[in-house]
Amino acid sequence: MLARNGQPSGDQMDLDDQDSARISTAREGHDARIAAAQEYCLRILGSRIAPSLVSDDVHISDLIKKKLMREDTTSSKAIRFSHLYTKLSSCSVLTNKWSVLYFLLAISDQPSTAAKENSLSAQPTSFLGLHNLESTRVHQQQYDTEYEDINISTHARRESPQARTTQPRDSAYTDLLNDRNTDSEEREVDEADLLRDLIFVFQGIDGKMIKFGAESGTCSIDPSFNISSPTRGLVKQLTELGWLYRDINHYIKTTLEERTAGLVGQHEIVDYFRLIAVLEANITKDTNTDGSKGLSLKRLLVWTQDSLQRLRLMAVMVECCQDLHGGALISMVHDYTQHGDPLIQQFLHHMLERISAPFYVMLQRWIYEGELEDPCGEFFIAYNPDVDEVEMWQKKYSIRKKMLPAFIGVPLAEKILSIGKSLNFLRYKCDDAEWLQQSHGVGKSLKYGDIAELEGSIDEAYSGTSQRLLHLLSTKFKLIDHLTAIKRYILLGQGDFIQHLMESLGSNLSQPANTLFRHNLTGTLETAIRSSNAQYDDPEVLRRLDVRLLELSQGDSGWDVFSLDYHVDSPINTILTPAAMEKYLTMFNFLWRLKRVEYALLSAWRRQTTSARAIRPIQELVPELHHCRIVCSEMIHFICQLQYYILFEVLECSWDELLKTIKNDTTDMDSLINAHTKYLLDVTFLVASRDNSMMRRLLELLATILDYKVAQDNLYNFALAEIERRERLAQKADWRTRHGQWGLTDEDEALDKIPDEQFEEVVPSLLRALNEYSMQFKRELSELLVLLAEDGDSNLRFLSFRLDFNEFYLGSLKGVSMDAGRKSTVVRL
Amino acid sequence: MPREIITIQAGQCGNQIGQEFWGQLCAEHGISKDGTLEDFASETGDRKDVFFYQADDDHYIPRAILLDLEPRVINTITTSAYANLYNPENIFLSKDGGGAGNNWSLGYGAGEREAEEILEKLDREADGSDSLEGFMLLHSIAGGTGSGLGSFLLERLNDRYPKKLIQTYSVFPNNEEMSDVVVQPYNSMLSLKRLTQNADCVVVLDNAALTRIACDRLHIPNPTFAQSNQLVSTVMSASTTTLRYPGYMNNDLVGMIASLIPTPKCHFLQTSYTPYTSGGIDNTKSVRKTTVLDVMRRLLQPKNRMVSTTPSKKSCYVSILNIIQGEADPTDVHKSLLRIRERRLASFIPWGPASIQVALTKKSPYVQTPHRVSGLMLANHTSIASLFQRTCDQFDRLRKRNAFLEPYRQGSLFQDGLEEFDESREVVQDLINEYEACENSDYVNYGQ
Repeated sequence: MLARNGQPSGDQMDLDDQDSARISTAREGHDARIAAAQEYCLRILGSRIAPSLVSDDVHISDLIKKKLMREDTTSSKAIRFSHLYTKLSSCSVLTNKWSVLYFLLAISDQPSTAAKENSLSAQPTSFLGLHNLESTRVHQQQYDTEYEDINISTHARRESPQARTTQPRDSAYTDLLNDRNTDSEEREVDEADLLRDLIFVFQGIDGKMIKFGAESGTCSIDPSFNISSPTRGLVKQLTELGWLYRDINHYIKTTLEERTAGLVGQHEIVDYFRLIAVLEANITKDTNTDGSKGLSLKRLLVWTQDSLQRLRLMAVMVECCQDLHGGALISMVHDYTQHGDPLIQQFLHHMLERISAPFYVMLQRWIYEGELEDPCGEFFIAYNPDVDEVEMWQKKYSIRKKMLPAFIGVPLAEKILSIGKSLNFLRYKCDDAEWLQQSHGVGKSLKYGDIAELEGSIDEAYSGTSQRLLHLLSTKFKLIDHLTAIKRYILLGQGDFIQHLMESLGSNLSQPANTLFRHNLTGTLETAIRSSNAQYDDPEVLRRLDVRLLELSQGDSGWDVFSLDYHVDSPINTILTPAAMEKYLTMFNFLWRLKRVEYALLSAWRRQTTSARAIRPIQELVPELHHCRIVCSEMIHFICQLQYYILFEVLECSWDELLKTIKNDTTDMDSLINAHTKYLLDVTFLVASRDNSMMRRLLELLATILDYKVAQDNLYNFALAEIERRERLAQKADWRTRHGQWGLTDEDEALDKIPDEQFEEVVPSLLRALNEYSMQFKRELSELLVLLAEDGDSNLRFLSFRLDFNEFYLGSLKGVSMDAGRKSTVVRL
Repeated sequence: MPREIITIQAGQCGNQIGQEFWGQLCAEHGISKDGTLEDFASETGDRKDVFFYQADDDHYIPRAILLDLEPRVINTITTSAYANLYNPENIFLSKDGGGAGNNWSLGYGAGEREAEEILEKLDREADGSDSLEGFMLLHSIAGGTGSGLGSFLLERLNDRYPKKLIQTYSVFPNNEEMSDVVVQPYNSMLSLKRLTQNADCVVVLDNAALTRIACDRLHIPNPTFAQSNQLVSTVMSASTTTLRYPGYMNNDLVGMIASLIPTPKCHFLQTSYTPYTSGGIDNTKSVRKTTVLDVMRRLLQPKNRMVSTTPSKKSCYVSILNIIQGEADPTDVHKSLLRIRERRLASFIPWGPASIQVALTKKSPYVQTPHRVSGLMLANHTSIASLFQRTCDQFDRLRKRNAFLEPYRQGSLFQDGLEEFDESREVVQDLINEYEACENSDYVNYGQ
C-alpha cells in the first residue's frame, strides 16, 4: 500500500497506514474499538478537512503491545517491548519517537499485505487484468443501483480487500461531514458555481468549494457552503473524474521524470490530454449553454458517464502498466483487448493504436531503414554494442522476449529481426547504402490493427531485403566463388594445382618444420598457381590464397605444419567465420596427408613398373618383388578407395546439397549460414575430433604406408645396384674375352647371382623390413575394418563398403577360406 | 607443369585413329581445325597443354608424331581441313614410300634404318615439354608399319626414356574370321611380345568387337573403318578426360593406371563405352535412359566391350575404372555401386581387394551430345588371355607349317634364324599363364 499509493503528501501516507493498523486491530476487544472511534472523532473534530494523526507515543506503544500479545500468548514479548519502550522514552536524544514506533508497527503489518499481493500477482497477467475490469464493472453496477450510497472513493484501482474495507469508514466519514455541514450552514450554493468548480476538479485542481481530499479517491466539499445532500452525492460522483485524472496524470508525470516510458509514454500523455480536452470542451459548452439548456449537475453526470468510464479504464491500465514500458506495455494493453465488452474493446483498440504508434514508428524505421532508434530499450530488438564486427550477424542483434508485443509471434519477430539485420548488414558490411536509400521510400506506414496486413508488409520487406542481400552476396561478394575456391584449393579439388604443389614442396616438407620459411613456400605457391589451371581463376580468389604454417611443436616435420590458407574478409566472413576456416584447414591437413601418401605410392608404383624391365634378370628377387607389388597394389587400393569415399560420399554429395540449398531453399542469410554450417559439418566429420580412434587409425595406416614405401625403395635401390654390378662385371668379362683371357675368373662373383654375403645379410634385412610393414599394414587395416563394421554411422559404413568392395577382407576376417568364399560370388561374365 | 603426353601414331591404322582422336580433342577443347582457339572457347578448367602445345602465334599444336612408311593416309591428313594443325616437322614418311607390305619385319627394319630421324623428332618433342609423363602409341598389331615400326619404337623408348610411362592403344585384328592378311598372326605375336615387355599399359581394341559394336549397337550394317575408328577415338578421348579436366583424382596417367595394374605384366586393359551416340556417327538410335547406375550396369555388359573375349568360369576383374562424363549426380555413384555388388554384376580377383573406381568428369561444353551421362570403363580382366590364346592358336597353325616365313628372313632380327618367333610365343604364353594365375587366390605366391 505504501508504495502503490505514491501520493506525495506525507499525511496521506500516514492516514493509509493508520487505516491498516486500525483494521488489523478491529477484531480486537471492545475497548480498543471504542478507543479507536474516540480517537477518530477527536481527530476529525480537531483537524476539520485534512485531519492528521496525533503523534501519541503511548497509544502507539499500546497498539504494539496488544499486537504482540495477540500474536504471542506468553506475553513475554510484550513485557520485553514495554521494557524497551521505557528505555526509549527515557532517551532524550531522539525526538520523533512516535514516528519510529509507528514505522515499526507499520512494517510489522507489512508481511501479511505483501503475501496477499503476491498471491494476486502470481495469477497470469491477462487474467489479472480482466479481473480488474470485472471489479470495475461491479462497482459500476453499484453506482447505478445504490445511487445515494455510492461512495466516490471506490476508486477503480482500489480493489484489494483491504482497500475495500475502508469504504464503510469513508462513507461514515462523509456522512459525518454532511451532517455537520447541514447543521452549521443553511445557504444553498448556486449550481452554476458548483459546475464551474467541477471543471477545475476535472482538471485535477482544487475548486473554490470542492477540494481534493488528502486521501486517494476522496473529495471534500467545503462544509462552509450550504449544499444539499443529494447535490453533494452528485458532486462527489462527478469528482471521481477529477481523481482519475489526477492519478493518470501523476503516472504520466512520474514516468516522464524517470525517462523510462520514452516515446510510448509521451504518446500516452498526448492521448490523455486529448481526452481531457474533449472533456473540458464538453464542460465549457455546458457552462456556456447553461442558461438556455439549463445544465444541471445531473445532466453533467450523465454526459460525463462516457468519459468517466474511459478514465476508469485508463486508470486500470495505468495501474497495470505502472512498471511496464515499451513492448511489454503494448503487450499488456493488447491483452485487455480480449475483453468481451465491445465498448471496452473498441476503446482499448483506440488506445492501443495510439500507444503503439511510437512502437510502429520504431518498427518501421527498423524494417525499412535498419535503424534501431530505441533510447529506452523498449523495442523488442536489442542491440549489443560490444559485439565484434565479425560476429555482427550472429550476435549483434537479438530479440528481447519481454518486449515482444503479444500480437507479434516469435516467427514473425524473427523475420523482423532478420530484416533489420539484413539492412544493417547491407549498409555496414556490403556498402550498399544506395539500395537502402532507394528502397527507403517504398516503406508503408504501419499502425496497430490488422495483424494480417502487418504480416504482409513484413513478409514483403523480408523477401525484398533477403533477396537483395543474397543477390549481393552472390554477385558483388562472390560467395559461391569463394566456396568453390575453398573446395578447389583447401579441399584439393584442383588436382593439377595440388599435384604441382606436392611435387615442388615434397622434398622441402620432409625437412624439420623449423627450417621452413614462409616466403619460400609462398614462392612455390605462386609457381604452382602459374603453372596449373589455377592461373585462370579469378585474381580476386587467387589473391586470397596463401600459405600458412601451423603452430609447430618439437619434432614436427614440414608435413605437420604446412597448410594452405584462404583469406576471407567482410562480409563473407559472416558465413565463412574464422572458426569455420579453422575446420577447413584441419580438413586440408588430412587430405594433404592422404595426397602425400598417394603420391608416395604412385612413385613407388612407377618405380616398380619402369624398373621391372631392368631388374628382371635378378631371379632371386622375383617372388619378393612380386609380393612387393601385390602389397603395394593393396595399399594403392586402400588410398584410392579412401579418397574416392571422401570425394563422393563426403565432399561432392555435401557440395551438391549445399548448392541446391543455396539455389533453391535459401530465403535469408540465416538459412544460408545454416546450410553452410551443415556443409562444413558434413565435410569435416572425419576429422572433427582428431583424437577419435577412427582418425588415429587412419593416420597410423598412412604412416605405415610411408614406412613401407621407404623399405620398398631400399629394396629397389639394392636391386638396381646389383644390376649395375652385373653390368660392370659383364663389361669386364667382355673386355677380358676380347683380350684373349677367360671372361670370368674365380675371384669374380657370379654374373647371375647375388653375391652370397649380400644375399645372406642385406637382402634378408630388406625383406624383413618390408614384411614387417606389410604385416603391420594388414593388421591395422583389418582393425580399421572391424572398427568400421562396428560403427553405427552409416556414413562410415560406406567407407568399409568401399574398402572391401569385393569382400576380400570379409573373407580373411572371418577366417573363411577365400576360395570357399568366392565360389558363391563368382558370376559368369 | 602439365603431365604432358606425346602421341605417336604409326601406320595406316594408327594415323587414322589419331586423326579422329585429334579431331575429337579439338572439338572438345574448342580448338579450330587449324589450331586456333575458337571464339566461343574460354577457359573452362580444361588442360589443353597435356596434349597440345602453343606455338609462338598461340596456335595449338598436337604433341603428336605421325609415322608411316607409305604416304596415302598421311597425305589424306595433310590435305584435309586439319592440315595446318600438325607440326609438319613431326610427320615422318619413308623416303621410298613403299610401305611395309604387312610385314612386321619390314616395319621393324625401317625403324632401325630411320631410327635417327624418328628419335630426333621424339627427342625434340620430349624436350619441348616440362614434365613429360609418357608416350601414347596408336597402332594396329596386325599390319606391317604399326606393328613392326611400333614394336621397334617401344623397345627404343624403353632405353631412351626409362622412367617414362608408355601406354598404347593397340588395335588387334579380327581373328574370328580369316583376314586377307595371312601373316597377321605372325605380326601380332611379334608385336605382343613388345607390348608385354616394353609397354606399361596396353588398351586393347579389337577390330572384331568394333565391327560388332558398330553393327549391333549403332545399327550400321557394314561399318567403314572411319566409323569404327570413331569408336576408338571416342574411347581414347573419354579415357583421357581425367587428364584433360583436372579434378580431385586421376589427374595423371600414373594415377590412373596404377590402380588398374597391380602387377606389371598384367597391363592389358579392355574398354567399354556407353552410350554410343556421340560424335558424328549417324543413324544412331537414342538410348533409353542414362542414369549413373544404368551407365555403370551397361558398361559391365560384354556386348559393350570393345574386345571379343571368351571368358571362362573363373574369369574375373582385376580392377575397374569407370569414367563417367556429364551431369552425373555424385550421390548416384554410391547407390550404383551398392546395386552392382548386391546383384553380383562383377566378380573380382580372390587374392586382393578390388573395386569399381569411379571418376566423375566434366563433359566438354562445346560438344553437344543427346544424352546426359556417358561412361567409359577401363578394366583389367583376366579373360583377355583368351584373346591372346586365340592369337597363339592361329600363330601355332602357321608356325607348325613354317608358312609364309620367307619375307621375315630379310629383317635383321631373323637373319640368324627364327628364334624370335618362338621367343615371342614364349613371352605371350607366360602372359597367358600369369593372367590365368591371376584368377586364383595363390597368385600372391606366383613365380615362386
